[in-house]
Parts: sequence; C-alpha cells; structure tokens
Amino acid sequence: MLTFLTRRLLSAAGTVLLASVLVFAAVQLLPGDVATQVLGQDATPEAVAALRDQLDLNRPAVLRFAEWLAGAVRGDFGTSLVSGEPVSGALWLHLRNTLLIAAATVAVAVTSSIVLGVVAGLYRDRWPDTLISSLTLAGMSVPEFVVATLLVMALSISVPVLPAVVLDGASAPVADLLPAVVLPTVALSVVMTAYIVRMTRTSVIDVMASEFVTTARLKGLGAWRVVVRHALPSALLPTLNVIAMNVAWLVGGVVVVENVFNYPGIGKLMLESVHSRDLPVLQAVAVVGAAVYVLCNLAADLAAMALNPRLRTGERSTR
Amino acid sequence: MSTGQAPHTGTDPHTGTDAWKGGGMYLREVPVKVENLSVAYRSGGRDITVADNVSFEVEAGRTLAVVGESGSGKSTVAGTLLGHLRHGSRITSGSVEVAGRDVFSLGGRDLRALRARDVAMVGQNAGNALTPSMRVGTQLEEALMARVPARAERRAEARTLLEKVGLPEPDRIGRRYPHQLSGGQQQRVAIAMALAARPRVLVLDEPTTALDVVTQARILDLVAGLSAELHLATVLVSHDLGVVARMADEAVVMREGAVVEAAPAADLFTAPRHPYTRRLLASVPRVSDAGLAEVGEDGTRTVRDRAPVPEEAPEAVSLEDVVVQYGRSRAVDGVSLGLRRGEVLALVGESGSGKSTLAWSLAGLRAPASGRMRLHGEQEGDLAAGARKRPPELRRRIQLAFQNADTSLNPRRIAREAVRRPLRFFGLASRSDADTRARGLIEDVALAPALSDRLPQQLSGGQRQRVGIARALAAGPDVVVADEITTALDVSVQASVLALLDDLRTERDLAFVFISHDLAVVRGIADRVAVMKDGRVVEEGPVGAVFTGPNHPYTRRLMEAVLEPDAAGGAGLGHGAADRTDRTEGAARADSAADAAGEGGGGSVASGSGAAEGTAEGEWIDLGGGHRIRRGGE
Amino acid sequence: MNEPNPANEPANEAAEAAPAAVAAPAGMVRTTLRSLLRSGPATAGLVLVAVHVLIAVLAPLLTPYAPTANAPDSALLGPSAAHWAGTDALGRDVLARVLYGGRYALMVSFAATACAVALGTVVGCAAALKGGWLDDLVMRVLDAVLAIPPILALLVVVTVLGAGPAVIVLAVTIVYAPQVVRVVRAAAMGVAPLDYVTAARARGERTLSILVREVLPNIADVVSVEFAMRASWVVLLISSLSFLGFGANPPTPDWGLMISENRTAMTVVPWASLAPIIALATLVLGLNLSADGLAKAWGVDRVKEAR
Repeated sequence: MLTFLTRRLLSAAGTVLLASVLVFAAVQLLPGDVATQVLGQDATPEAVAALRDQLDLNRPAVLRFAEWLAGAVRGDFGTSLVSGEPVSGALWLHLRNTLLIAAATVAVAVTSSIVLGVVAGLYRDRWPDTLISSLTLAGMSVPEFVVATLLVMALSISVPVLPAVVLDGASAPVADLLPAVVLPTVALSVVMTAYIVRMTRTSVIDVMASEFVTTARLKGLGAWRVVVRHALPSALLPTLNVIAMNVAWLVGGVVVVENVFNYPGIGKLMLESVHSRDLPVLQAVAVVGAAVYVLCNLAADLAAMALNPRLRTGERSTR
Repeated sequence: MSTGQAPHTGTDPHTGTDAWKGGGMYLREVPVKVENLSVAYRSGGRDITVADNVSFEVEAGRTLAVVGESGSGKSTVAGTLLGHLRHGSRITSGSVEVAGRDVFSLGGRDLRALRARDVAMVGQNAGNALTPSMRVGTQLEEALMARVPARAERRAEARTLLEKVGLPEPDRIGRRYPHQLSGGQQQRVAIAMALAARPRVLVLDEPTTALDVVTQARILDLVAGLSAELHLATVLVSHDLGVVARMADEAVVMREGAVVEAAPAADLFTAPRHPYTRRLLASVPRVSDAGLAEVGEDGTRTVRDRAPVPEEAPEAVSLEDVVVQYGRSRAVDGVSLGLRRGEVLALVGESGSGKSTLAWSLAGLRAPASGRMRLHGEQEGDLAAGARKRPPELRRRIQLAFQNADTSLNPRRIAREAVRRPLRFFGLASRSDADTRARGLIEDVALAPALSDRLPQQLSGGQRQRVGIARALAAGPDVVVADEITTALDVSVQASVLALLDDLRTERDLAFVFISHDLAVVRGIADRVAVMKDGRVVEEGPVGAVFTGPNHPYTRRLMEAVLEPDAAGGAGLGHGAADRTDRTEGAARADSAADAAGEGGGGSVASGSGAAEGTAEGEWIDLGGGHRIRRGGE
Repeated sequence: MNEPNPANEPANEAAEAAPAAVAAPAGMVRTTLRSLLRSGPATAGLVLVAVHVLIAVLAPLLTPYAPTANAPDSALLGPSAAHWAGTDALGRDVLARVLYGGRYALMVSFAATACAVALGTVVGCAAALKGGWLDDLVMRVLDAVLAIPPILALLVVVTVLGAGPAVIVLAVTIVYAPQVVRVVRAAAMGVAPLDYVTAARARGERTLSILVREVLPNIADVVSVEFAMRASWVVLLISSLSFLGFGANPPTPDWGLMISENRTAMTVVPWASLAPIIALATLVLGLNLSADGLAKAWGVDRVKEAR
C-alpha cells in the first residue's frame, strides 16, 4: 500500500511537471516572438528588445524553463509584466479568495448532489426521480454565467440583500469577502450538482440491482441498513471520480462566475492577465490550476481506498 | 462438523427450544407449498409468461430439486419463495406459502421478518452476493440481528457459524473482506449467512455452478449434512442433473416455465416418464460411456463407437518442455505432449491449471518462454512464435474455437461474413465464390443456410458456437484448438455440438486439442487425455486407460468429484448420513487448505509445492500403451 | 440507464428461439430511430436541435432586420409589434440577433466537436489496441493536458494565437480530444479482449484491419453518444468564451456575447438578455436530451463519463 501511495504521488508530480511543460511551451514557443506578441505589431524595436531582455528571451527555452521551474518549486513564479511585482504575491491572495468559493461550492454541491442522487436512484422512475432528473438536465443545460446573471437579476437587483458586484480588492480580509461568496457559490453549485447527481443516480441504480444488495434484502434487513451499509460505499466509488473532475472544473468555472460578480479571485486575475498579456501570471495560474486538478484526483484516489477494501488491502492496483 | 451428538451441546445454537427442531418426528411438516403459481412480465405491451402454473411442496428435512435448462423459469420460481421477483415481473395466479404464510400477501415488515427468520437463499456466485465493502463477519452478524439482540452474543454466534461451515480460524476469516477469500470459502460464508437465521426453508440457486468440481463436491456434502442436521426443507435449483442426483429426494423438471414432470428423485433417474426428461437425462455425458451418446427424439440413448485413430496416423503437433510465463509466474511449466492427425487430445484440469494458456500459446496468442512447439505435416512449422511472426500458411493450419458463444462472433457482422473472412484473408477463395464457400461451410456445421444472413444476436448459443466452428474450419486447418466450447451450453445442445466435432474429425482428418474441465464430456469425445495441475501434466494416456486407472492422486480426486445423474449418485455411493458428515468434515479441512494454497499466496505457495516435487522432476511411472503418471505431486 | 430487462431468463429463451427479426446493420439504424422516437424526451431533444439548425440556416428569411444594423434612436425598447423582443443599447433588434446568433455557435461547435471526436477516436483506439509503451505515453500526455482546466487552456491559446474561429476550433480540439480519448479507449479496451478480436489476432490480421473491421463497428454507439454529449459542452464552453469577450467579435450576433453586452441593462430591457439565454439553454437542452436518448437506445452509459 505504501508503494502504491509513493507511486501515485510520483505520478501526480510527473503530471504537474508535464502540464507545466505544455503550458510553458504554449506560452513561450508557439507564437514565434513573445515580445512582439505582448507589445503588438507596431511596437518600436527598442521596446521589443527591452522586453526580450526582461523576459530573458535570448537564452535557450530549455534553460529558461529549468530556471522557471526551479523558481516555481520554491513558490517564485517570476515577475509580473504589468505591476513589476512578484507574481506569487498576487497569485496566493487571489487563490485564497477563490478557495473560499471553491470550498463552499464543494461542500454544498457534494452534499446536495449525493442526497438528491441517492433519492433519485432509490425512487427510480417515480416522481421524485422524474423531478430531480428534470432539474438536473436543466442545470446541465444552462451555463454558469447564465445562472450567475439570472441570480444577479433576481436577488441583488430586485431584492438587494447580497452584493451583486464585489467592490473589495484582492487583499480584503476574509470576513469582508464572506457575503460576496454566497452568490458565486450558488451559481457554481447549481451546475456542479447537476453533473454529480446524474452519476450518483446511475451508480445507485446499478448497485441496488447488484446481487449483494439483493442478498442483503433477502436477509430481511431494513431498507435503511441495506442502503447505507451495503449499497452506499460501492455506489459512491464511481461518484468520487466525477466529484474530483468537477472540483477541477470549478477552477475553470470560477473564471466566468468571478467575472460576473467582479470577485477578486484567481479567475479574475487570469482574465486580467489575458487582457494585459501578462504572460508570467498566465503561466503561473495555469500551472496552479493543473496542480489543483492533480491534487483533487489524488484525494479521490485516497477516498476510493477508504471505501474499497480491495484497494486498501493492496491486492490489485488501479488501472 | 457436528455429528448431532455431544460436542456441540454447549455452544450449538440449534439446541434451543425451537419447536421446529425434531418437529418432523411426530407430525408431517410442510414449510413450502407452491400452488398453481404463474409469473409474467410485460414486454412490448404483452405479457410474457416466465412460470406457468407451477405447483410443488417440500417437507421439512427433505430436498426438492427444480431442474431445467436455461430459460425454464426455475430461478424465478426459487425467488418467489423469498417473495422476490425481478423488476417488472408479477404474479398472475396462484400462491406461495412458506412457513405457513402466504408470501405475496405479506406487507414490507412481515416480509422482512419472514426473510430474517424463516427462509434463506444461497445464490450461484457468493463472490457477487457478499457486499465487497464489508467484512464477512459483520455481514454474518447482521443476519443474526433478528434473532440475537446482544452484540457480544452475535459475535460469538457468528464465530460458531463459521466453524460450523468448516472454515478454519473463524476469527481471522470473520475479519476478512470477501475478495480475500477463495470461491469455496465465499460460498461457505454465504451458507453460514443463510443458516444464521435458523431458517426452516433453504433455497439454493445453482449453489455450485461457479465452482471447480472438487470444491463443488465438498460444498454439496456440507449442504447435505447441514440440511439433514437442521431438518430444513431445501429447494435446490440446478441445471446439473449430477448435482440433483446427489442431493435431491424429489425433483421437479421445468421447461419453458411449466413443470413437465414431478417425481421422487430415484424414480426420475431410473424411470423418467416425460419424453423431455428422458431426452435431457440421455443427453448428459457419462464417465462410463466409451464414446459419444446419441439421443433419439424419444430419449433413447445409444453410445457411438469411437473410431480408433489409425496406428500410422502422422504426428500433427509436438510440444517439448514448453514453458509459458505471465510475468514471473509460470502458467505452463514444462509440458511435453504429442498430437496425431485425426486424434482428439483432451486437456483436463481445474481453472488455473494452465490448460487454456497452453491452448492460446498453440494458437499463437502468447509465445512460449522456452521449449519447442512444432507443427508437422507436408511443411514443418515452428509454433514457438506469436501469430504475427508466423508465416500465413502456418497460421492457417492451426485454428481456434472459443468457449463463450456470446463473444466469439462480432455482433455487427452476419454469420456468413464471419466465415468468409478467413477464406479471403488466407486467399482460399476469390471474391466471387467466397460467399458460396462460406454458405457451404455453414451447412457443413449443420446449420440451415438461411441462418447465414443473421447477426449473432439472432442466433441461439448453440448456433453461434457452430458458426464459430465453421469460421475455424474455413481456414482449412490441420489442428483445431477448442477451448471449453461446450461449457456454456445446455446439455442437449452440448450433445449435438460434440457429435458435430466428432464427425468433422473423421471427415476432415482433423486433430483437436479439446480443453475441458468436464471429465464426462472428455470421456466421450477424446482419444487421449492429459491432466494438468499447476501448469504441469500430471497424467497422460489413452482415454480408456486413464478412466480405468490406476491414476495420479489428483486425477483420482477429479474423478471422484464427478457427479453422475443416476439414482445411485443420489444415495451418495451408499454412504449413510453419518458417513457423509464425516466426509464433509474431512473435505472441509482439505478444501480450506487447498483454498488457502490456491488463493492466498498465488505463485509463492505453488512454488513451495513445486520444490517438494522438485526431487521427483521428470520422473514418470510408465503404465504402457502411452499411459504415464507423474510421480508424487499430491 | 439501460432499458430495464425484467427477466434474464426469458430473454435467453427468446435468443434460443432465434427470432427472425430485421437482419443486417441497416436494421440497426431503423431500430435506433424507432427507439429514439418512442422516447418522448429524446424526440423533443432531436426536434430542438433540428429547429435550431433550421433557424440558423433560415435566419435571413425569418426577420426583416439585419442583426448588426445600429439604430440609436430606437435603443433600449421593450417588446412591441415592430420589435418582438425589443432592442438593445445600440437599437439592434434583439430577435434578429437571437435568430442569427446560433450561426456562430453552431458552426464553431460542430467543427470543434467533430475534430475532437475524430482525433480522440483514432488516438483512443490506437492506444487501446497497441497497448504497451504507446498506451502509457498517450495516457501520460493526456493526463497532463486534462490537468489544465479547459477554460484556462483556451484562454492561454486565445491569448497567444488570437480569437479567430479557426483558433477556437483548434483550441477546443486540443482541450476536448483527451477526454474523448479516455472514453473511446475504455470502450475499445472492453472490445479488445473479446473472442472475435482474439480470433482476428490469431489469424494474424494487421492492427488497422482489426480496428476497422472488428473494433470500430462495435464502439460506433459510444462514439456517437460521445459526439452528442461533447457537442453540448462545447456549445457551453464557446458561449462562455464569447461571454468573456474571447469568442465572437463584437458586432457579430452571438448569444454569449449578447448576454454579456446586455446584462448591465437587464433591469431596463430584460428580454435582451433573456432571449439569448433561452436560445442557448434550449440548444444545449436539445443536445443533452438527444445524447441521453441515443445512450438509452444503445445502452451506452453516458453518465459514467461525465466531464
């Protein structure tokens, strides 16, 4: 089991490394001359040369990547082209703010989707299922920025109890940001719940039809016990991966939602850096996003081990 | 295992004051009454009947077998005894009474109580029936909840139950998860779980179908002993007439949902009345047959003489010291065998013995790690290379037929295309006459030409298996490797496929490598037999010689485990009840030991026994006539 | 998700009796269609998608207004006989813009989805059949690409290459192909060990031939469902991109862009935002329903592959 964990950790680190290579390549190598890209076609040769110097573009890409990586490992993602300050300071602040939304969303979406999914699965083809499944389908069909826009319209403008637009800066204390977290969380939860509910429902239906659940029923056990003790652990297993994937999706989803609410999170930082072509920031955000994704998958794997004794006792490795 | 005497009086949970114990002594107790039961489900707007007017009764202490082929509705009927119907099915008439209560009139709570106390079921595959995320001890304790309220007592009793079903070290077993147990052990846990409620009725749905023959024999002994001891009314559902003969007092034969014959088991096997029963019985291959049985429409049975392989038949394939590896473990460990034209060589052994690996290696799907493997004939060929590296001519001359009729044909291609492909691929037919040839081959395997335009899903299992054979024949092979090709078929279909193979062998002078775990099938179809265990051949010889003995201890064990559908089989070869329980106890220990060796350590344990054999390496006892037995090894 | 099969036994029995049902693959299309049409939601989904395609094609015939014609003096009007859904801040007819608005989304989405699914299918099959180091390598790289959140990846690509439709198609292909690879690879791996593939391998057939003859026909259902489902996500993604200002360029009528442009005036002319929202939601809903319907008709478990 320990070797399994080590192997899993190494492969996670490898994935993040490879992802940062891809991001680095996309940002630095694809467009030909970065400096011209950043400054635009009609920049003066002097300005281009100065930027090339600042970005170290005259040295081989491999070397630059190695240096960047060495810095990134220590938490140093270089210097922002716009503010001239270290990228990491702004990055961690915005990441903290985004994690507020993400944590709240995960808590809300995972709980509600598991409850709804299990209910829909158990009442398959009856009205609770029909209702939940229809809502789910609606949730999947509406993009998160629409949900966000509608929320702004319905709640902040007609019933102004919650801030529709956040006016705090990135460095505002957490307590000040808390009211602003509510609406983005609701918008993201709606969409995320929709996806997880579907998985939970299918998985519950599969497991409830399995032989071991039938056996438990035929043992004369109560319905609650059959569901909670026998069915749920197996039913949640496939759901875990979907949850992990959705948490990773969150990192992307917040870009849009934060933009709607003007929330100072990582999505907004990303968007600003795209507009201002602040490549070091862009690169850092993308790599941090990849790291979050990998961590989520790792967490899902660990949770799977907790639920599945077959993995825990280490008879077979996954995949 | 208890012999019903002193040793258990202290802890035996069954010496309580329960009325049912010994109740049958003074009054006739009938815990199971099924009357005019019909079950149907709706499909495409009309009712499809699954069970049609089924009636039977089972007395306490007796075993009733429900026998039938696939689609006979036998499992549906078994489920109704626990008030269980598949999604979408319903009772259209009749009633099921268990332990004095009408099962289908019970509400949720009462039904749960019935299941918790009066009736229990053991299914086909305990591996699927046990919850994978719970320790088996916990699952067992759950089954005790209705009867034993105190937690500590439940734990103690769970332990007793595990002991009772012959599992060693019940404390350790109880802490394990299902996947850490072998198939035999899982089935024992399932039986313990069924008995936990001290039911009056035990329903066994194909309880041993997923097990090896040797394990099957032990589990059946265990169940027989326990039902007698606990005075249970047992309903056994099985397609295997051998199992029925071994276990049942009475039998009900079902076909397409209806009961065609109901009789005491002894009568059923000695004097079957219904033609279907007669045909069914006659179709079962017997170890005593010297050839394939041919079954008439009325159920008459004649044994076809085996045409001997001519002395001068040329050698088709030879294997010398072949080793096939999977990673570090040796699936096939130094096998030497020969096969002549027109000969059927059977490879026999339990799952994991290496017989299928050897066959796949012959077919070029896994190259051997060492040893020589050659195809003889007009052109010599080296078979020690994988299919891709073999010249096409060599690939053509050795063909493979598969076990599973569901997956052996591409579901998106009609039968004719499946047969046509090898013809075209090996350049045996031009584009224009490939179709005609394919149709001809389909007729050669005794299928109506009209079937050649059907997709596999529109064919029955037996028909698909024939198409698979036709596809193998299309290449015009010298050697056909047949991997358990009749295992998944109903007995009557199996008989006809075997007859087809035998005809093809003589007509086309084919050599067959016939892989099977069923000794009775092997007896009928094979000329020579090689028994494999742990990747080695432990015994090899002409079929007659191997079946008359003397044998390697492992072969003997396999033979003893064979259950024949004769009245004698049921009486357990003359064993009395006490004798039977003794056997159960001994066998249970052996079973557990074998289980532990087989599952627990995998390769490491096998290599341990290999070391013991090491001294006898290559030492054979030659009994003459090509019959030889490996020394030691058991 | 699968059709409930009430009883296995009778099903076997039916198979034993070998019904002389419609033969040959041509029958499959018909059976699929029939089972799709029998399901109400699936029919509704197909109809929704078809209506959207029709509207996009016929937009010029459906409205007298040009979607990009500014009319400052009739800005921010509510619904009226002349402008059924009102006008936006520049006085453009909202209905006209909504009718034309599907063109960009549908075209880019369709092209991107087709590319992603095609690429993913080829790579997925190759990885599954070849196995070994190729499979390892492919999966490694895919994991890395999957690790970068789609929107971030798209934004990076759009930042460095600009926001033309071709770039977006390329970017979406890169972002979504790995997910298709995963699904297709899993499906192909389910088929690869089956006996009919083994038979082909024992015959010595080449990988390409095994792929085309034995594997692809049997995963066509998975690939089709994948296409429908992927399409719905791509539409969402592309409209998100437009909403953020990285998709369609401003005068172009596009739903995502319209919502973004009009949401500030939402209290004044709610229909300028609501109309494109409804259009977008019905298209995605239609795609989702169709994907569900296809999956159900073929017994593909689409939910398991979510995201």
